[in-house]
Amino acid sequence: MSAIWPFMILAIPLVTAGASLVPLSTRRRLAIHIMGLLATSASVFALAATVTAGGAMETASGFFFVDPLSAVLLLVVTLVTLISGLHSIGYVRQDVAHGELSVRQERQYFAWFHAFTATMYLVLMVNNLGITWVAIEGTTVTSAFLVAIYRKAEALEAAWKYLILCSSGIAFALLGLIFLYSSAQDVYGPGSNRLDFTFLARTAHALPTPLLLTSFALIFVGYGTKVGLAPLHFWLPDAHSQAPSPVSALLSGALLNTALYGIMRIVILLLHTASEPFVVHLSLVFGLLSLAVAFPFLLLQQDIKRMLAFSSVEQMGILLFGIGVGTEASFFAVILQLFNHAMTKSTLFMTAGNLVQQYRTKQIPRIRGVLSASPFSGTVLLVAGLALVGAPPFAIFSSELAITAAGFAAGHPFTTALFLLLLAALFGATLYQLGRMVFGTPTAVRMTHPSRWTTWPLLLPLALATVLGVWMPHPLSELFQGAARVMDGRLL
Amino acid sequence: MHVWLDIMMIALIASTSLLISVRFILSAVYWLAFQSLVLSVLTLVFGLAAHQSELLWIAGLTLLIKAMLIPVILRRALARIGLRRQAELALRRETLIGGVIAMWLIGYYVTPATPSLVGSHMFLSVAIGMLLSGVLVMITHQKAMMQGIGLIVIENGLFLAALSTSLGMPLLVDVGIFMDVFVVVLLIALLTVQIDELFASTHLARLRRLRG
Repeated sequence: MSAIWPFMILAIPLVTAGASLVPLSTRRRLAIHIMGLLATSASVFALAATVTAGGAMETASGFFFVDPLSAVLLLVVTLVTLISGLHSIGYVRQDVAHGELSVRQERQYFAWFHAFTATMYLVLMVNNLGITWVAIEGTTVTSAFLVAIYRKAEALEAAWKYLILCSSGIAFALLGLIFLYSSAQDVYGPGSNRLDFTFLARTAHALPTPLLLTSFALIFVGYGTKVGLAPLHFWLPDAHSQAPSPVSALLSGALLNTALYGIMRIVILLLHTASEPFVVHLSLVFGLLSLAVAFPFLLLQQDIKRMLAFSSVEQMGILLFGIGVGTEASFFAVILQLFNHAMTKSTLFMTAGNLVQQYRTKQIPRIRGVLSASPFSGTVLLVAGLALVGAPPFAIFSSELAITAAGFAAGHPFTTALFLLLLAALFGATLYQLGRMVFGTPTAVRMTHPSRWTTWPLLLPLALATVLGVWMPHPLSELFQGAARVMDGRLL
Repeated sequence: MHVWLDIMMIALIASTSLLISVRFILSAVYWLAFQSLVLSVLTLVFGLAAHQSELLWIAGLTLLIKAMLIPVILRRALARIGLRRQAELALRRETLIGGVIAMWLIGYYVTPATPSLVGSHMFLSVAIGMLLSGVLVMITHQKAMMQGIGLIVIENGLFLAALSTSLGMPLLVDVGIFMDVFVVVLLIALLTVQIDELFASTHLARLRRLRG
């Protein structure tokens, strides 16, 4: 029975994508969209429950492989997709009403939306690392259509940069995989499973170290471009700021994590082997660099969505730093941080979308007094902002604390001290930017939200981010711990 | 047999080198088609020599998608914006030729001299050289479509690398890569036409609105 879920998780979004293109009445298309979203989420929850109860599973003669790590990522992607999909309904309706999008573009939007999510699910469920690459490249092309959807000068520029930078960057990851594949074939003879994660996890330690290191460096740089690690992040603020806001939420909350998952899988192969020091140092250095580069851009940013995009560069840096620390405690913290960042950042991007549609500007100085102009948006902005920067009692506070503690315990006192310093600086910068908008005298007259679709869905991730700080349901903490053990190479 | 392998290798080096210094974008599309054709024949030869039926399928797909379909799509996009569009270089042509030679030398020196499964070990060097030359095309060219062509040269280099080190990736992976490349080319063609309509040029210096 459980073997059916991976198929469903891919088939439902693809069918929904196809159905979105059929010229039906608005009501019918809405129903298809919502049903597709709910059915996919239900399948993901069923699969995650199976994995929580029974551990890692392989189906379709080893094509699909889902373990607690992929289950956590699947949950993150499906939650962000669900919320962003519901928010899209109101957001796109508003854009069509304002004449920013035509009805034909609206249909294309929903088709690419579902196709994009299907590619992300594929990344997280396949066993063969080569197919993972194909799926990650698939996320680039499908989301590039979404970034370009407004067909304005800035949108086309952003989509072009995104497509060219990510596709050429990720080509290096493929070269790394080719080296990995050929060295596995040299050692173990030809075979169709030589790129399977389950095979390599058992055998990678016996592969020649120089080749492993070359492969890792290439894959790290390739997927790192897609994760938006500095200095490979140049596409990220452009694509995030030009895409429709629900898509920005998907890019930040789901896509970046999916690309990071590609790096995580390779890290798992190399931990506890002779290559470990190289992996650790590369991750720590690029993590810190992302934090350091994000700070000035975040502090001086005047565009609300670019500001949030640089905050995502920062968050990816934190996650990579946590991976580099390399202990089970830090891995658990990374999972917790990843989940909460996805929830809060997608809330913030969608709230930013509401504000941009109401204030008719993306400029932070012109968006003032949100709290008094729109108490709902103001409260959401404030709470999600505090949760994002890691103010106590929110979960990111404890995960950042845990990464720091694990860093000191693992014997990296100087790098961890620097990490803490940068965290504090970014804490201040992000709160300063959000505070400029939340407080003050409003620049717009009192606003009404045109559609409930753009407001109510935001309460779900906000509630999750708030509750997880003080209380974590037992199955979820078990799943997170399982994912941390997978990352530590202990569930193989 | 080995003479023909060497000739194909030289054809790959020559087509890549010529592609970088073309005057018209259309010529680059033709050189790209030629390069993919050589790759397809090479895959066929490898498949026959190693008795791998999978490689014959991949040779057919390379011929169909990379040597025929992709050039047709690019040519149609060019026809929409004007077939006589010139490629524009950020560097002087002489500097660029030096650059290409450097790429081939790097490709030669970074690859270990291990014998490949079929033919000479030089194919991996050529593959790395093609990959780097593709990057060089993307860096030095100022027109949108030339960047896209550089991307496909990179893909061709990767294809050759996989072919020469391990007789290609697993079939399913190769098919997936073909699909990705195909959609990327569609997107490149679409975006090039839209950029041209909106900016009245495909010169990338016009794409300078997003900063900081």
